[in-house]
Amino acid sequence: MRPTGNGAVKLTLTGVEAASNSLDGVFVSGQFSFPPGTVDAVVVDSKAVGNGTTGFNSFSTSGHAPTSVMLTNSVSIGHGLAGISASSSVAILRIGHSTVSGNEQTWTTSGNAVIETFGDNYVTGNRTAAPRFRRAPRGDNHSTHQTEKSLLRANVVRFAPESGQMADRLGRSASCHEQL
Amino acid sequence: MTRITPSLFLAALLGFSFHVASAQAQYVRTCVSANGNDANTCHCTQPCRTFQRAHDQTLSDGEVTVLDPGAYGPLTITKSISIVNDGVGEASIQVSGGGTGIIVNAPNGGGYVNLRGITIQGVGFGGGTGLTFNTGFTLTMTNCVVRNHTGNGIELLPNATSHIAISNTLATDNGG
Repeated sequence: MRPTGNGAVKLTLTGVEAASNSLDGVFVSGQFSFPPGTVDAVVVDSKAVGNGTTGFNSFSTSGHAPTSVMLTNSVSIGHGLAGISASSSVAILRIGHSTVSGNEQTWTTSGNAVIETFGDNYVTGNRTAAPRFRRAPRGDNHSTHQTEKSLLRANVVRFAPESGQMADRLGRSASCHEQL
Repeated sequence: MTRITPSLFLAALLGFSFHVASAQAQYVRTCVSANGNDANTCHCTQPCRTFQRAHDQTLSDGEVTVLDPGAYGPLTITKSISIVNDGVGEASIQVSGGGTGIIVNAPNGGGYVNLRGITIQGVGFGGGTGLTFNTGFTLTMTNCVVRNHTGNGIELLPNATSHIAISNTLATDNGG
């Protein structure tokens, strides 16, 4: 999605599968749009599989429209560049209850872009060890705060930072680079 | 001084009545069928063969219904409209020669476009783009397949406030 002008553009993807495309699976860009315009995407129950570059990409450039992607209960698998990506200081990608696996890199950021996690993702089996997600800040806004609190209560995983392992209540472990 | 002959008067009258008839020939609901004909009115008792003809014969806020499986051709949407294939088999748009399957140029602020159950298939011969959304207030796309295009599968380029919702849709094997 690459809107122009300065309108508020909202995209909702539910149950969408973007697979085997040459470039990104889902590309959300505010690059050609200007404030007060905004570009906001919510992706739920969706899959990006085996696309050439990135599964889900939140992209903008400085001075252009703030761009956000909220990724929930979704999957990004097997991409040539990265599972998820965000570019520029006005772009953000938030991810919760999702899987990022089998990608060349877990994620990429550039230009002070932010990727935030709600701490309950499955991040494993990516070729390049990734830096840790930034945790979604408390009090970012009311809804984020409430969501994070509920996730924390429902969280069934523990994180052992020394080993880079994540284990569930039953003691099963899996490799994980996510900071909880 | 120009004399109005009876034949001239009759021709003018006929022309006027044809004009009125074509204006009245738009329907709230039209239909397409693989056995349809674009010479028809597109009323569901006389279905058309292509989406474009059916679109043109449909009033704003109306709907086009697919009656049976078939390839119904590329389409440019310029009004609020629903195009619905509710499980009668594949309703496809085959794209080639660098074309675009569906172009949405609906009115900003008041254009509501709904697509359901449409397959937009690139078939070689130059390829193209599946769907391009240029203008319109909302686009909902459900149960669609967009595949095998050399360009983008779904290209969303709104230039004003827009709400776009895509669900249960597959975009695969596209170049963009």
